[in-house]
Parts: sequence; structure tokens; C-alpha cells
Amino acid sequence: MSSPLGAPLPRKEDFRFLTGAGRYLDDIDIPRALHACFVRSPHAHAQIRAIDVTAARAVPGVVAVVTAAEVNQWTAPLRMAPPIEGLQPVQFATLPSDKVRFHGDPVACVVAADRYIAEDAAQLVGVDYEPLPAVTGIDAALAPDAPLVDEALPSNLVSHQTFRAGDPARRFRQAHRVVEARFAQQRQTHLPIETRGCAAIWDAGRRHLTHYAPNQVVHPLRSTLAARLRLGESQVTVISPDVGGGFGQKIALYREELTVAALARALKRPVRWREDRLENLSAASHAREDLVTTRAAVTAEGTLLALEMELVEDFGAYSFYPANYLARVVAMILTGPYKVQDYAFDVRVVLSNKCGNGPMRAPMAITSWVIEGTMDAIARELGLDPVEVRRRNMLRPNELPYETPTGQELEDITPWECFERGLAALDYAVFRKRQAEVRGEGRHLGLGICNVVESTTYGSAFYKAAGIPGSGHEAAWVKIEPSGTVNASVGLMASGQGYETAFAQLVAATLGVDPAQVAIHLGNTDVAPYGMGSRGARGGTAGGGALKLAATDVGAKVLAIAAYLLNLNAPDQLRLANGAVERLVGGGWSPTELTLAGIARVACLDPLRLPPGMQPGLEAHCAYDPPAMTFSNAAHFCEVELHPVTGRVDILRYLIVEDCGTVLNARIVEGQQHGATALGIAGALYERLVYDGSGQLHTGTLADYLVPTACEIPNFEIIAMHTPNRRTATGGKGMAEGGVMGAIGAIGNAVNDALATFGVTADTQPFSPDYIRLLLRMPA
Amino acid sequence: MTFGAWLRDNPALSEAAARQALSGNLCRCTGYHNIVRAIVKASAAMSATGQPA
Repeated sequence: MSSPLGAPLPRKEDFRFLTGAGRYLDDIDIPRALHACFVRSPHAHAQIRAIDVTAARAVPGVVAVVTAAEVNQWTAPLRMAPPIEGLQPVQFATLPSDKVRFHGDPVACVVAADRYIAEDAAQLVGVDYEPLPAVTGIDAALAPDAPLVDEALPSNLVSHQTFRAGDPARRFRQAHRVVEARFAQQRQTHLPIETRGCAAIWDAGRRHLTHYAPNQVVHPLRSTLAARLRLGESQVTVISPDVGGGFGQKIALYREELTVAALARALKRPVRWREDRLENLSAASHAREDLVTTRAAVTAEGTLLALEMELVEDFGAYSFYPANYLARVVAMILTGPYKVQDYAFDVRVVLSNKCGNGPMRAPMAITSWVIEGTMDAIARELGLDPVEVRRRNMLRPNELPYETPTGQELEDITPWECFERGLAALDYAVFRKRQAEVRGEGRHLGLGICNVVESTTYGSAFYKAAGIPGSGHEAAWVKIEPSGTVNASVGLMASGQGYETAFAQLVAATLGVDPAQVAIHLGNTDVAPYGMGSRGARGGTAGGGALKLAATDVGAKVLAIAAYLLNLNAPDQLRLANGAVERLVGGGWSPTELTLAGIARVACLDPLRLPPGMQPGLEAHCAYDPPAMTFSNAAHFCEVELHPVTGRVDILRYLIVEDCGTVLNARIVEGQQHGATALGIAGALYERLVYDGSGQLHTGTLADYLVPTACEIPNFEIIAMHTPNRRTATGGKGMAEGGVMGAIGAIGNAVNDALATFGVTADTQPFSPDYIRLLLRMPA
Repeated sequence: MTFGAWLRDNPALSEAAARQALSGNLCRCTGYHNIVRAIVKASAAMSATGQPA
């Protein structure tokens, strides 16, 4: 058979998922397990004067009702204080004892024989609150007399960084025009179909905790969980069962999970918790809510001379991540595929009385809309074609590698090629003609273009430069068992990416065996090597790199044994293909009598036949630290029809041209492109978390928080333009977040293209019908 | 599972009808694209053979 690398093989995982045999947290039976339910604040901001748990404790079936008084004794607080200039250190205990900071903040936990009893008893916990004025927006947070969300800080401005490269001020003085644009992105949430949850089992005899939790980063989770429970890492095993979607929500150790684990130890009974949908929408983790303005200094022909960007983000009440972490990436990569060296940014992050923010699939999602919307604004103000403005400023193939003003090294990317390929596929000139024709019939079409340069895999060198403690490496092992079957593991955890298939293909292709012979084991800290887990778009590049190195080492040992058994001096004219050893004879590959199974039997069970001095067994453990940063790129093209009477936007056509490097499984890559783009569309047109002025969340159900259905998401046309990255182990570049960035920008620009004849600009997502109608009712 | 029953009762399903019928199931991962393709493909196969695909 030919190499399985890149083949669109069906996913191994789908057998269990499609037959209802997946094993999620709730599919795990745990004898004697108790059920937890949290009591949450109905106020956005309030002093806790007293908590009365007497009535709740008296309910038959209730085993414990605990508050900060107990839980904060059992656990250490979270301190988030990386040494980053302009970032305030923050610290908070597991449960709040003095005041609540958002609508949904947990204040007590009820543990009972079943969930029904726990929920009923939670209603009986009496909390005496003294409401405080709430901070519910960026302006309010920054007001001089604003109430403090965190009294330990001097103000609600939790992070502030500025940057300048070149001499933007001089360039602005030279400019023909300064074009300003504004971009507001709403608060969203990840909304995994499977909400958060966990189950903790304390083995009192071994003094060992087994913590089941759907989670993307099992090893970092174990490190944090052990530290906050004041246990050693050898005393905690984290096991992630199948995960029903993560999108970044299942990375941090949340306060609820820590409380449940502490309760299991204190009660010496297993405790499990499953979040309901209201809790997931209101209290799990939120994302985005950024306000960005750009100022572009341009020539009369549309050449970008300098760019300034200001960003303010509403981070919510609690920092489970450094507060500058998400906004920083936007600022670092903003210039994308465009040539500009004079660049300045000002990035502020504020705390508010809302659920805390975290990274959501494409934490830097707004980036491409900002830069591509700026390109469109330049074209509109100068009366130029938006395609021509992009061509004038975009990096050409012969201008790579290119160091951006923030020091990012762009190489092995193809923005020019993907953009031109998409324009040709779309027949841009024909669209403009058709757009003009149908306008005469009262129809309003718009075309949005969004070129994406996606930061994918963050190596250790990036973290070091950013001042963030942590590593960008990933680790893997590959073992060939005595039968010749292959087991492998990596520190990532899948939440739907099909790792068990794609990585089996990679290991199989590296070794020269059938992917069906390779099993990938994920999500158990006692099995998987210590790696940084799944976040960003690092899985394929970092995890794949580690697996490839380990498979290469094992494969080399197999061939060394084969050479010895065939009485050859060196293995350089041998290879493994489809599980059998072949030898180069007269320019062609000929079979030998050796198979992988035979060599494995020798290596594992008959080691006296091995070359002298060689260790028995066939296994390797490797770690891989990818380059400081890798980039994928794509060009998104979206054609919409805007209905002025209703404000509705229909997507008529959606085209993606993408280069994400060497592909492990083409079908899985396409699935990621579909899913990422759909998530971007969801943000651009539909989803929005709404808090009122007192900090009450108004979108606590899926009737209010509008997740698009199959009727709203279009079919996607995809053109693959993949070219390898020469500096990564697999040639991969990482992918799966760029689609979000592309869709937000392509729809943002398409709607504004359709609105251009009305003389209004939409700058606040989501572009809902009521917002579009509001714009159209405004006097021009 | 939804479409096991749906296709039995509604052979020769159009894409638009498949999307409408699927709208009761939210999906956060797939963008629905391949699910819709699979339903339409199964529908065509069942119409051709009169048997579940």
C-alpha cells in the first residue's frame, strides 16, 4: 500500500461515537458516588454577610454542605502573577468568602446521594447578601470612581501594554490620508455540547486521587490540581474520558472541579458533578468582548505606511489565565500578510462583574477582521478596489521570509498564492458585475474577503519571549508489542479532532505499517508522557512531531535488528513497508523473509538473538519543542445577500483556500475547516452573551444564546493549497482556528460591502437583524 | 438516530429538507457540512435500492 499519510481515512473513533458507545464522563459508573450541586450568586457584585446551611444539611440524603469556610482550608488559592510588565498580579481563593463578583459565582456546594436531592437542598442554603454597584462594561470599569472588582488592585485596569516599532508618528505626518476604523466583538462562550464536569475518587489507603474530567490538557491539570490540594503529582491521576467538545473551555482547573476533588478527599467518598446548561452559559468561561480601533496612514494609492491599534478587552471577574494573554496575540500578529514596519499598539484589559474570560477557539479571533476590515476601510475612503489595496500591500512570495514589526518570522506561508487562487475560483470581476446588475432589481449582494495568517503552534521560545512561564513542547512514546502491533501515546487530549486516526496514520507512515495496526492512547496521566496538551492549534505540529520522532527511533531499531538478522553491515538499504522488511536490490525494493512481527518477537521475547549490547524491547520516548511560532494561512471569500427590510443576512457562497502544511488526514483537516468557519459565522451573525446594567445575564438558555443550526450554516467550498513547513518535524503548520478568524472577517466585510450603498458601516458584531435595521434607520 | 427514522419515512430527501430536519440537533464541531452530505447520500442510496443504506 502507499503511505497512509494524508489519506482521507474514515475516523477510528467514529465506530464508538456513531454507535452510541462513546464513553463520556457520565458513562463511567462509580459505586457509592455522591453528587454535587453548587449554590451560585444571584447578584453580579455583593458582600456575603452570612451563609446559613442548617436547613440544607437537614435534608435527608444530604451528606455535606460546604462553603469557603471549609473548602479554602482544604485547598490553596490560585495565584496568577507571571512577571509581565503592566500585568497586575491577582490571587483568589477556591470559594469566595467576602464577596461575590458575578452572577453565577459559586458560594457553597451541596453533596447528596443523588443530584435531585443536591439541587433541592441547594435551594435551602440561605445567603445574606449586601448588593454592591456592579461594573458591567469597559467604560464603567475604567471610570475614575468605578467600584473595584478586585479590591487588591489599584483599579479595574488589570493589564496595560504598549508597543512601538519604527516611527509611526513620522509616517502619519507623511500620509496622504489617515483612515480610522472600529471593530467591536461581543462576549461569547464556548458552548461545548458536553458541559463541564468531573468525578473524583479518593483512595484513603493509598492516599491517591483519581480525577476523571473531560479536559484538553491532562498533565497541566494534574500539576495544578495536585498543587492546590497540596498533594504530590504522584498522588494524583487525571483521566479524561471522551470529551464532547472543548474549544478552550476545558483547560483551566476551575473552582468547581477543585471543590469536588477536595470534597472526595474530605468525605472519603467518590463525588461527581455535572454542570447544567444554565451554569455552562453563565459560570463556566466566557470569551472575547473586545473593542478595537485602528488608524492607518496611507498613500493616495492605498499603500500602508503605518498602523496604530488600540484594543480594550472586558475580561470578566476572575483570571484563570494571565489577563493579557489573549489580547496580546491579537496585537502581536495583527499585521498578518501585509508589509508594514511602522506599527504601534496600546492594549488594555479590564476586570468587570461578569464570568471570567478564557481562550476560546481562536483567542485572537478578531485579528483578521481588524486588519482586513482596515483594508476595506482604506479602499472605501480612497475610492479604490479592495482587491487592489490588498495586492498593493501583501507580501509576495519573493519577499519571504519576512520579519513583522513585532518580531514574528513569517516563512513558508503562501498568502499571495491563496488569495489569487481564490479570486480566480470566484471570478471576482464577474461577481462585481452581477452585484451591480442585481442592485438595479433591489437586491443587495456583498462580497467579503479575509486573508488569514493564523498563529498555530507556540514553541517554548515564544513563551520565554512573552514572559509566560511554561513550555511549548510535547512528548510521546511508541512501543511495538511482541505481536508486532503498535501502541503509542502523546500528551494531547482529543475533544473531537480524530487524533486516534490522524496520529495512527502518522506513526504508521513513519514506521511502514498499516494504520489499523497502530493504537493511540490519550488522556491518562499514568499512561501518557508529560506534555502540554491540546490548545491553540498545536496538536498536529507539536504532538505529531513528538510521535514522529519516537516512531523514527523505534523504526531505526527495527531496521538495525533486521540488518543483523540478515547478516548485513548496515540497515541503510532496508525499509519497513506494510509491516514487512524490504531490501533495495538493483534499484528496486524486494521482499525479505523478515516481518515486523518477527522482529518484535525477537526484540521482546528472544533477546539473545539481538545484536550484541542492544537492549531488549522496541520502544522509544521522545519530546519535541517546535519552532517559536508556526503559521498557517488562508483566504476566505463570502458572498452574502442582505435584506434591507428585515435586516437579515443570508450566506450565498463560502469559499476557503488554505495552506496548513503537510496534512495527516485530509478529511479531518476539512472537517476542522468546516467547524472552525461555522464557529466564526456563529460569532459574526448570531451568538451574544447579554448582561444588563446591573450585571444580570439575560442569555441563560439556548433560546436566547443563538447557536446556529444546519439551516444557518452554508456548504463550504474548499481549495487545498498545502505546502510543507520546512522547520517542523512533520512539515505540518497546525490549523483549526484560522477558520474562525476568516469567517468573522469575511462576513464582517461582506455585510459592509452590501451596506456600502446605504452609506453606513456595521462595526459591532453580531450583525443581527435588529442591529442591521438600526443602522439602516439612522439618517445617512 | 434521528435520520434512521427520518429517511425511512421520507426517502429522496433534498438537502434543504435534510437541513430543516437536522435543525433540532445542535452541533458545535462539524459545521453540519459532512453530516448533511451523509444524509443526502444515504437518502439517494435508499431511494435507489429501496433498502436502508
